[in-house]
Amino acid sequence: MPPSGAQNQYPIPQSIEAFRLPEIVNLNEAVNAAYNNLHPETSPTYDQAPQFGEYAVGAAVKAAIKPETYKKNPNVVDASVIGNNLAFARKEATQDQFGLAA
Amino acid sequence: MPTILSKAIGLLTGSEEKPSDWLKLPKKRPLKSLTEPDLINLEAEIGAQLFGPIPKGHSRKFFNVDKTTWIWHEEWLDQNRKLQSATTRYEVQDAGILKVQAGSRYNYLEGQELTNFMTAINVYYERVMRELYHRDPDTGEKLAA
Repeated sequence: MPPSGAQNQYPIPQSIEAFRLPEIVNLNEAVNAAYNNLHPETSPTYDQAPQFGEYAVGAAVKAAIKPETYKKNPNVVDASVIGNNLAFARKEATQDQFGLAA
Repeated sequence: MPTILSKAIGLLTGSEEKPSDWLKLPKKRPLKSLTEPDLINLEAEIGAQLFGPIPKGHSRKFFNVDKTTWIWHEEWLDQNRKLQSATTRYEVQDAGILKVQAGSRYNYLEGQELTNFMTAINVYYERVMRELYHRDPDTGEKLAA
């Protein structure tokens, strides 16, 4: 049920712009500060790339991460680690006979 | 009611099993494992919360499909009360994060948009691992109950 006058109040969402929303920009700053304080090891500098590999759960990513790879495109490495770790956790969860009861 | 998104998830994951109602844990599932579509639905619930308030009349989903694919999906009613939707796929490739949209529009993320995307998937990962899978995001070890 759209709110009245919706066409003026809420611009048509454009996913291409989604990652430029003010919320995520603010979130970006807040989370980065908190995240880096809590988990400095997961926000590695280039020189820490080999150490970062130790945190990856996905064996394939562990094997693939090399310092030169990380230097080339750290975002791709980070995204790959996250993708592999999520896949790992999801696969484990599907094999959990008791589901995710917690 | 199955949504276009749930159908898409079924196609992407290859599962013919229809996901349960969106954002709800399947009921009557004692001793039954959750399927990948079930889990993706649950992850998407968290993903939808990462970008601030969702305007009334809008539905937003952001979730990870597989090791290299992320989906942004948004639905809304236009002034003619016709359902509109937009889906963006983000592919993690060796050369960067490729954004793919309808109409053969694609480009690699860069600048602030790339920074925001990376922040979003980091927060998604942190929350999904802790809140859904009950695992330490850094080690993958299960968290103590």
